[in-house]
Amino acid sequence: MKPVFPFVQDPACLPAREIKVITEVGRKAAVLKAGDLQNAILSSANFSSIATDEEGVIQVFNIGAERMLGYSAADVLNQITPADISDTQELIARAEALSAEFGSLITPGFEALVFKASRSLEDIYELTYIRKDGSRFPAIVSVTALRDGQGAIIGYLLIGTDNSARKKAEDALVKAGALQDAIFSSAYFSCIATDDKGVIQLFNVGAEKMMGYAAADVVNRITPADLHDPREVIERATALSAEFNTPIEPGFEALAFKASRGIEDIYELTKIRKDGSRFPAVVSVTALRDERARIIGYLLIGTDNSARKRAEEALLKAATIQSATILQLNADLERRVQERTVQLESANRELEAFSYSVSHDLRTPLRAIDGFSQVVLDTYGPQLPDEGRRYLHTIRAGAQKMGALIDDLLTFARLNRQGLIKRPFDTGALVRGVLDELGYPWPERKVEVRLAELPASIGDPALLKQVWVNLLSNAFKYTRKRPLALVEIGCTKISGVDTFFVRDNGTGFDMAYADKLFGVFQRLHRAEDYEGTGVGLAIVQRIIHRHGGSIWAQASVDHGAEFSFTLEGRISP
Amino acid sequence: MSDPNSVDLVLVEDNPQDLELALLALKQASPSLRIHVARDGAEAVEFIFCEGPYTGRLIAETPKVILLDLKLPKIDGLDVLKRIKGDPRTSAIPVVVLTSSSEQRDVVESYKLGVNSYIVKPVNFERYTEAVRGLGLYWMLLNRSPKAAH
Repeated sequence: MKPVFPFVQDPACLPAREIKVITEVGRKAAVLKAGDLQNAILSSANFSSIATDEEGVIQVFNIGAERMLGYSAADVLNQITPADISDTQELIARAEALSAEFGSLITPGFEALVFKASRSLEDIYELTYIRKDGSRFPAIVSVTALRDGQGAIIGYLLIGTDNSARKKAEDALVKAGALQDAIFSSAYFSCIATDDKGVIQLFNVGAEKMMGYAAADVVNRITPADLHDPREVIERATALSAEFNTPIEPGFEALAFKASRGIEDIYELTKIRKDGSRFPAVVSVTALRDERARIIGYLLIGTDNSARKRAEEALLKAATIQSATILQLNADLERRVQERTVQLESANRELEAFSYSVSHDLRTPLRAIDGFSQVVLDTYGPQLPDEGRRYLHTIRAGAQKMGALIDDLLTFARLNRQGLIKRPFDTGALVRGVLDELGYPWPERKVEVRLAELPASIGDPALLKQVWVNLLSNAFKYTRKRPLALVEIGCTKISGVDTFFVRDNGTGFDMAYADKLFGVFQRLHRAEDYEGTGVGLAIVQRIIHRHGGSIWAQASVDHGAEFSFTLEGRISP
Repeated sequence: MSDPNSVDLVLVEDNPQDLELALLALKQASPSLRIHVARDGAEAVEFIFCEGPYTGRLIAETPKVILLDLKLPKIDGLDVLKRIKGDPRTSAIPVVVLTSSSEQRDVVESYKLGVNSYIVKPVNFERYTEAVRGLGLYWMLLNRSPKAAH
């Protein structure tokens, strides 16, 4: 009768911490209680734990084995032996070796894997396991015989670890050894090994070439410090003494001190050749230790740094020239900016003087024209014919129109100079104030204003008040001929941006001329129908643009107009 | 204008048309008003501070109100204002700046210097006369000179 090991798929899922491996071997029925360590091994994903009966048939195949080998437990339990997943050539070799060692015939199968363990010999060996997918990996396997209370073997436990990583490291070490050899025999690195006192013991071909000495000149004669610029060695000793707060000799100790303390040390020093010439070298120092970690010497690997130095100097020189050029360019740029600023400032001053004199001097004669026309009307009105009085009224209207034009133009011109003072404000309150100022409601007109809730605005309240004044004045002006004027004021979100609108049921305009709407002195209506200077919407647009917003209009002749604007994010309708 | 010691209103204006219109407006409103006219800033200062041809005038006999244009020959209107408001003998006289300029910096500067009112002369004649009459007479009535108060 075969032993039966109730298999536990994932022990970590069990409520009990203990995994019971129950065996039933005919008369030797026994219960094996595994210890904590065994539990840990069995449930570890990093060890493959495979338990077999005494003939080698697999009874336990833990999660680590499943992961490592790619088989599920069901694939292998009661089906195969560990020999079936091992490299056959290696099994044969092992069987031959064991047969020779023990002087008995050992079969190249499961027996070859457990023979030593069955003899109670400690057995750890390296073996290639073969995964379900046919791929191979090196494993270290430790084999133990499982025995019942009377000491009779009831099975075997094979614990395996994946040895790939260590194998790789070993391969790398072998390669590193090759690299070391290459470095040592290279003519481009100077390799100097010393004893623990610093006396040179080894002086490779690279060192000979670099320094001009033959190995025989220096071995057992001098220390590497003798090959360096003494001034630099003294400097280094002083610096190290200060750093480590201990006196350091300005000789070989200064070169090897850090390495002797196990500190990585790569330094740049000037070396002096046999002929007295000098060259900059980069030197890496390592302490050589025996198996008990006592320092037995030092290895100094050096490279000639002249080429790099020269390259660095050339680079530095190039960088210096470049930065000088940049400085020159900057100075030029700054000078030009200053010149432009002066020009711009003077242009601004001229513009300011111009608008100042426009505001002063152009209005004065207009006042005379208007004023004296009125004086004539007042004083001589009764003596004048009707026609004469009408002409005088026309003169006055012209003068006043020109006054309004000048005022609007100045407002428009000033918009560019005036700074924006942005702050959040209550749009609704501002609009209600504007309606009051415009004189709404008018007793002689039927006007319905529908004012919706408006969100707060962020902008210059004084300038935005001008926007609302102009838009609402227009709405009231162009609805003048309606028996019931309707003006709607509201706000919608377009692409997430608050978009204010003023909509009226007035005379509207032809969209064919919409491009002229916001131009200075552009009018879409005849002066005798609707008065105006043609500057109002230009002012509105400039204020909106200065806020970074957009304004647009929708209208049709005789069906009203709608003006929409935003204060941020240039969007199109 | 015969007695420089009993003047109700000093009008400082260089432009002849504006001057005539202002005088017309003032006479219309109050025919008995005693007005002294200065045609530039220097003349205004000489009159108010009793200098030059007006050395005989008594500075204590302050006018009740001064209407002052800003853009003036010789001494600028703002400088005239500065002297009036900077001198304790004259600082109590109400000064109304009456100018064509709606330049913000002029308005701000005038208020800084202590102007009592600031009027931008409208082109429209009715509104002009209204402004001159209204503000000139308002300050004249409001102003109880220190002498009258005692």
